[in-house]
Amino acid sequence: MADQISNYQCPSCTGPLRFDGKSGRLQCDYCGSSFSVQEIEALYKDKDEAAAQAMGSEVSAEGEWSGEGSNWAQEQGLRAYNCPSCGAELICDETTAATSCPYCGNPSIVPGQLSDMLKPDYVIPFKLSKEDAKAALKNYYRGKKLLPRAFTSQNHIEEIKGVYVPFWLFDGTAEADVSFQGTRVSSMTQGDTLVTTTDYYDVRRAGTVQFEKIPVDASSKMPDAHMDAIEPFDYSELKPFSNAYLPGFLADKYDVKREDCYKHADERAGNTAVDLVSQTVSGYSSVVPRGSQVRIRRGKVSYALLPVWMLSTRWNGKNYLFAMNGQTGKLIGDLPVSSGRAFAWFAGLTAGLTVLFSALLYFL
Amino acid sequence: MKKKLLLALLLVLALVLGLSASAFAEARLDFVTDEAGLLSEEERTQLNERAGQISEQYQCGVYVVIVNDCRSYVNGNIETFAEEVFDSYDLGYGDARDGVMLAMSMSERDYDIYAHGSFGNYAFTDYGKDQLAESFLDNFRRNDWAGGFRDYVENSGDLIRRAKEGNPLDQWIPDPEPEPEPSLSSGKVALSALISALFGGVTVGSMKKQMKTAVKQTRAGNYVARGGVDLRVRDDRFVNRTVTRQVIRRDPPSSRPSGGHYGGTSISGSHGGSHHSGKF
Repeated sequence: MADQISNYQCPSCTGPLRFDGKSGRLQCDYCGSSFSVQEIEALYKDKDEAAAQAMGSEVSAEGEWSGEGSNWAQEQGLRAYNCPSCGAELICDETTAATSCPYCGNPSIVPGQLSDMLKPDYVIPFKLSKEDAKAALKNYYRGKKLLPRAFTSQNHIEEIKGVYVPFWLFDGTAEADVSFQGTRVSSMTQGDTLVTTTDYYDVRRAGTVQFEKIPVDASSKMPDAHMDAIEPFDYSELKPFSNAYLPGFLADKYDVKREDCYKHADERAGNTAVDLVSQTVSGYSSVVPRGSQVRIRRGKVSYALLPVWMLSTRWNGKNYLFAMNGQTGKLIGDLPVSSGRAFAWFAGLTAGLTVLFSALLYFL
Repeated sequence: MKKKLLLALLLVLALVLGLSASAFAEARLDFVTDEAGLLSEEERTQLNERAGQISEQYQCGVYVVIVNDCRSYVNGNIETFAEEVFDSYDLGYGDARDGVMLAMSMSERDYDIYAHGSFGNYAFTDYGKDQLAESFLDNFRRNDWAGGFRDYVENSGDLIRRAKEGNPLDQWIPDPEPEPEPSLSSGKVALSALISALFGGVTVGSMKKQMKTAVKQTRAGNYVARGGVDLRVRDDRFVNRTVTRQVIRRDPPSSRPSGGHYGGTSISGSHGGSHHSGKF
């Protein structure tokens, strides 16, 4: 039986290859060789196809996955693979498309997760390295006066991981029809009388706004707010998908269907169309919205893997997730608040300002 | 002729300090004397006649004296010059010698409005002299000497007339608010604590907000296609108009509001007069 997993090995020394965002090439850390994405694609084309077929045949033949993993793994919604490098059994989520072997550390790709109908249209390769992400996270902690001191030392910053997150990219057109009541007010003095004239207008604006590639994350594991907040990605660097961009990073296939993501994309497009159309109303003393109608015409949907550096850590029994755009470096994440520090700041500010204001009031 | 007389007499005055004013008692000075030659004889004559009319009508002299350099006549400034001339020529009307003089020294471009006598100082308050100066200085800045002097003479007449009517031009100066005694009541401390707690709460709230950055997007402005906005309908339709009229309430002017005082006239020096001087 063919392996369902591919290890991209250095053609020179058979050491594991990893994709290097800075150079945009696959790098061998053992012998220092580097290879272009096209070279590795050509080299591993047959092997990837065989791995994809191996996985596809097993799924289709029995209606459910029944590979080399244990029954326990299947019952848990997991999948088991054998590492082609050391033979160890890898237990992965059923959406895992790229991972690394916990025993030998070799990057491993599951081509069957990203082939045929499941193959992404695009990928934006990682541009920023793990070191960049660690530096950004340390910088993010700086100046946060309410952050518990122990949090930064205990959150295992070394465990930050590069993940290719699946996104649906929606094209479409939003038609907005918005009505307002506008007023124009003018005043003049006639003798001892102030005359105020108010003109009322029915104002209507309607138009269409075309959108391209509104991203909505297609992974149930990723919180939507985190994925939204690290936008935007620079689409000028979108590339046709290739497995060769994945070694060295984690990757998931989508597990949220595009139909379930339409609502969020439609909402964003509709709100923006109303905003843009409304911005054309000018020349009034006041403008009060009366109503709006929005119609969305959905267009092409693309599937892409976008680069995200992620760190999930626990603090006082609560999960904290940080995400950094692996292309632009935009970093977000909710931080814990130290109640003691918050109270100390509140008490200190209140006491200090009370003294200051009292001193001022003393002389008034 | 009279100009020459003035020059001679003032030279004597300059040379013999301490000379008694009685030495000039017999001398006479026109209402308008132009040693610097700013006015044509016709202009000077017309002004002189008008100043004389006003002075006679209200029994309060209106004078103009222009010299090239006042320091040639007195050991002092333009104010000293004005006082010496007014006293030396026994100018003014009545026992109090009521009158006003505009003295000008061209070399320093100094001027002084000198008011004398009880009625003179009543009519020409500090504020009145200030307004009078403003009325002619703009003409002088344009070298419109005749126009400036006309304004001076006519406006002096107005000030004298108002004073005769018991309403001299003056400025109402409200009394300054009494300085409160420094004190710190418990109410003030409580107010301070309340404001401080509010400020502290807002600041800490803002710091807490910085700790939460994962926010779901509700807009998609970054993904609008280039040239992808097409406004099809732009309709602004007039519906109706409302007009409101509101009477502006104006408080009737109080003849003498309370809690303040009029500026009045600041008498200075030993000559019993008041000055308003400056550069033109």
